[in-house]
Amino acid sequence: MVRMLYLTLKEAVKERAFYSTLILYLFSLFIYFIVNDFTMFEASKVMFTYSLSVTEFLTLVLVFFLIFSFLTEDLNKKTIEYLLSLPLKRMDYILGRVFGIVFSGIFTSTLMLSGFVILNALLFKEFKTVLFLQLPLLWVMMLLITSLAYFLINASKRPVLISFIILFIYVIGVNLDDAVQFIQTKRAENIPLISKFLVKSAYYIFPNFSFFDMKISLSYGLSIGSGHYILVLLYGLIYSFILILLSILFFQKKEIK
Amino acid sequence: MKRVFLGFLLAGLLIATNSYMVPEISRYRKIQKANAGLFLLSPEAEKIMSLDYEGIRSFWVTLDLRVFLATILEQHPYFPEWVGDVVFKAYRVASALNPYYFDIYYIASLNLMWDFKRYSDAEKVLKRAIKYRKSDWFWYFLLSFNYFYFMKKYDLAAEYMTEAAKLKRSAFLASLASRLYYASGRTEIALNILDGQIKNTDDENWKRELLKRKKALLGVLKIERAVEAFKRKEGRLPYDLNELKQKGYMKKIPQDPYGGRFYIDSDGTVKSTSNLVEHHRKNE
Repeated sequence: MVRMLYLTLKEAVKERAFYSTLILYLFSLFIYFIVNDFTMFEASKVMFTYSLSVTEFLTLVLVFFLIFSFLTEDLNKKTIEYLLSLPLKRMDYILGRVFGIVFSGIFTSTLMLSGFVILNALLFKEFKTVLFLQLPLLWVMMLLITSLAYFLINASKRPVLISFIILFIYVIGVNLDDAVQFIQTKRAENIPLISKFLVKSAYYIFPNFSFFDMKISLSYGLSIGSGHYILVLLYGLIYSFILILLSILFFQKKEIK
Repeated sequence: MKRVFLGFLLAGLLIATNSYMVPEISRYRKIQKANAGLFLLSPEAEKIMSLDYEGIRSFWVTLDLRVFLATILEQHPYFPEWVGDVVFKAYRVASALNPYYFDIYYIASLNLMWDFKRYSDAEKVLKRAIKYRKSDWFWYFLLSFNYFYFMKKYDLAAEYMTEAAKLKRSAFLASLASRLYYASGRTEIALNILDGQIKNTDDENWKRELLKRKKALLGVLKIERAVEAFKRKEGRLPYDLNELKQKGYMKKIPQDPYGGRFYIDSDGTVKSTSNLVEHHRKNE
């Protein structure tokens, strides 16, 4: 597994997406000053939100690209056959790929947020280390997305399709909590029962990505219960763990010519 | 060499095209925007569209609103009425996306109050600001101002000013609150607030000012009680303060420390010609 992980990390560093993300990050630093100039009051809080949003967005973009790139490499160019011909367990392939991608994300997100925190400290004389609390949430989110992708590898051999499904699940997952809260209000009385049922079902099946969003709370110094924070992390970890187990289980039986 | 030349030529062409076309397109969009307002979905739809980046979208909506208002003022001498709807909608969207965002409450409440005379909408904006930013004295102050200056609801103005004074620990705001309570006919509450402030103030000059106000309000309270007793017994309001004194409801007519003269208004409320403000200040 360690070998596969090392191989994935090495490939990730060579990926163009990795450097494109870093260039985009440098560009976002430039935008940072423009956003700051356009803010009327409490500029620091707006810029904290900006820092967290950009870090999350760029990291997720990188993860999506890495997933797509590895899937294309492995499935279309048949690298998977070569890899599995090595003295390597199938489980190691899944774990190596998933954690390789996640570790690349961990490295990139830590680097990016550290840069922002230093910039914020220089500009607002406020060394806001509490912003780093968003990172573990982001990492668990990446783990969830990557394990989802490698779970789907068992169902389809088309990287484009898998990427679309992940994107679709991500968009649903980000809005699920709001959707459920909305159907419980009086304004949703006219919504057909079947739609409400579908939303409720999706709520219990799909991963709920909105739980991992604490950007505004952290930026505005609102209290986040430590119990709640740990519960959210646990939720993501358990969900990912189950997905990885299922992926390994199906992948062991998968026929690869 | 040829390629480099061609590259430079094409880059120059691109810049030339852009510098001609971009201002044109931008001018057209500006006019269109000024006529149609901002394109905003419902708060729920905006939440869905902004995915996990509500904070950034909220900033963007507010910025869009600021640009839009500036554009309108470039084309009109004052804000047309329909612009008020745009402001209120932008507030609903931006505050739903990030209910802690200072700028949107500030822009929306002040514009709705001053430019569109939509006081109850401004009240809604400020109440939401208070809900999410409980520790900011500023929103209580602004809401109190809205109640006092525009809506003439003095009792509510006094309540919110008291909260603002507590949060800011400001003797000045407390003094304002006591004046508002006096204006709403609740002199005893005004006196209670003043007593609290006098105890907590270290500044001797300010303490003197508060004691002066207390003295004035004690005078008002004394007359109010006498008027009340007179009304109960005689079944009517006294003609003036002298009648109260002559019929034994008051031993002495209190002096207004601000240099004015107390009198009884036609509705029975006790007022002073000084309006409880220093004469030199009143004349400024």
